[in-house]
Amino acid sequence: MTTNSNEAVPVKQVEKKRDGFMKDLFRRMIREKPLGTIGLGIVIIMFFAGIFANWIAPYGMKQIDLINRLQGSSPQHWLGTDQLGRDEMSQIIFGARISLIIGISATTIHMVISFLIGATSAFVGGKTDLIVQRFIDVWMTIPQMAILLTIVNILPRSMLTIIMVLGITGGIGGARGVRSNVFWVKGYPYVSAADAIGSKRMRTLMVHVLPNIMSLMIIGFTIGIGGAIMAESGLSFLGMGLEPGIPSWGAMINGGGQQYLQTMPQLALYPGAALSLTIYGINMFGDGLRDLLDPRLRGGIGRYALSDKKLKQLKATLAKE
Amino acid sequence: MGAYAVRRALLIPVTVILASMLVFLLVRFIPGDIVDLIQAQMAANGGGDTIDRAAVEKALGLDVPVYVQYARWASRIVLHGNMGVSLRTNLPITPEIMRRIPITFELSLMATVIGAVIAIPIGLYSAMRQDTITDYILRSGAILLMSVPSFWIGAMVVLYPSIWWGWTPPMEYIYFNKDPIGNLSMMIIPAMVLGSMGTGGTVRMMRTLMLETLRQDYIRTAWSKGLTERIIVFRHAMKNAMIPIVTMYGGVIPGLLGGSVIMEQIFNLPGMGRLMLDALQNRDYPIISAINLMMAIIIICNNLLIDMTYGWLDPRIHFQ
Repeated sequence: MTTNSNEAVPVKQVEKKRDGFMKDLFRRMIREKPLGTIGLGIVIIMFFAGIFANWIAPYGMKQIDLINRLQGSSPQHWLGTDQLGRDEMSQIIFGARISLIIGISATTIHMVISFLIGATSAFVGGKTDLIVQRFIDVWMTIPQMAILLTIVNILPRSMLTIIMVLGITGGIGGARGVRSNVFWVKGYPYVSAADAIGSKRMRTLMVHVLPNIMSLMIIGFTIGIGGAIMAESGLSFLGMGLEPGIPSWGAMINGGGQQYLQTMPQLALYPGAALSLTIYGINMFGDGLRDLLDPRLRGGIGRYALSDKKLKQLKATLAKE
Repeated sequence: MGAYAVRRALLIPVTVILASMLVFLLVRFIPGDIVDLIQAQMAANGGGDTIDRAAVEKALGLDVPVYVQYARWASRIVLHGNMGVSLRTNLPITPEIMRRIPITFELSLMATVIGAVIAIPIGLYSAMRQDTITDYILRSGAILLMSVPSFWIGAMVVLYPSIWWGWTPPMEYIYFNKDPIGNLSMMIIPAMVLGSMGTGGTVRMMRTLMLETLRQDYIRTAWSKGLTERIIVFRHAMKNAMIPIVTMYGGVIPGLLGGSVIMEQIFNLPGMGRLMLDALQNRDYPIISAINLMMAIIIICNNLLIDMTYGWLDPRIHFQ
């Protein structure tokens, strides 16, 4: 029996299963943003170094060996020893851990505070917003380094102090960014729709606003970690950072009041290189992440939204018609 | 434009007052009694006898409530221009600060200019050639500059030439009016190091802004009209992207002021940052408050300037 060729043959539609958010993000990162992937790789290495420092480092964190101080590279000490005879490479690995702890903790506090202040201010609006804005503006008029130095100098020196200070000062500054993001989201109709059906403000904030600024907060978080590590190392360099015994890359660059630097510049070179590499990786990763996640960079036709390859393809298909 | 300028200018005194309050309270309200700290420091320095708390408090003006202290401090500054005396040397603070501001100012200015001159073209080019090899190289270069801590570069710049060529930074500061060339040659290196700090952020910002701008509809129109890339970028896109850049520089300058603290330390420049560090070391609170206040005032003036420029550049505000 011949089938009428005009009869529609039902084709089984199979919708391609979409990958989860993280997997999709990861794949896009690797495929489209090679720089970001390199950054991610560096960050992961640093992470491992920090977490498994105890197992990776050949020597202990505070293992002093005054007889062998200030030695150059040797088979026992790949990067030499510092002014107290501690193995330089172990110091750098432990320094990774310190930077990691401070960076992540301080930035978490930063994010929480800037969200609380910024989102509440933007969401409640009106007079509260005005007053909070004034305060933040005034806060921003004093350079962050000056504030940090002043506060850290007075409080007792400890890691907790540094983390809290970095977190809170950063948080107040970051509130402004969160606030503008929340305003941007507030413009969308789903927020007013939620309001119309009687959603309580806290619920709207958590359920509607937060997920939509999450991308921007993630970007802010990654960049914030870099900033926190940089700030802490700056403080340590000026001698206002952690207690003297704890290995911090910034303190190592300052190490021994710069008197040993003339004779043995490696003591400043290696921690500085480690610091630069870490922050570099974090920034690259954050940059790639922002290219992928920032909703304002989506879309657009024309040369500037397509890669070279896709543009050629597009031109080819257009030329065929 | 006139109304806008007036409105902005009126906000200044309010911000200055609030900033001065913040600066004042910053030192006063942080846990740790100043008198105890002074006593501890005296004990550490060898003066073992206990000091008369009441006398010290009276001398420091701490025996009155906080708001009275603030009122005295503020009125003294506004009416007499007297920012107090150093706790350590008993010399008046104001002339010292006045002497040091031009140095820090010059450093920050040079750093800003150098940073902008390098960063803006790079950001522009990077956006025009997004995701090409050039873009990657330029972008990683910019991020590298931003990631390398300024004090490390500064320390290396001071360190290695001294090892290789026996060169050291001049010990004594060369003032501008005495020897302009010498002064500039002395300042150029710290300015470049400091400028590189701002370059990375500016490149990224410029690139992002250009990318955003180039996705706008009017750019698409220009393309379809058949305009060349050069005209589109320079005449249409860049002008619109520059406006937020100008605003962004308002945020970069406080960072440069903070960074100058480190630069002055490394390159031995007698600027405000050095004074601040020395004061912090010596727990010299009047100086700390005074410098914080000066920095705040500088930044507020800077913000005003930026806002004015923004108002002048942005046609939407221009015609209000």
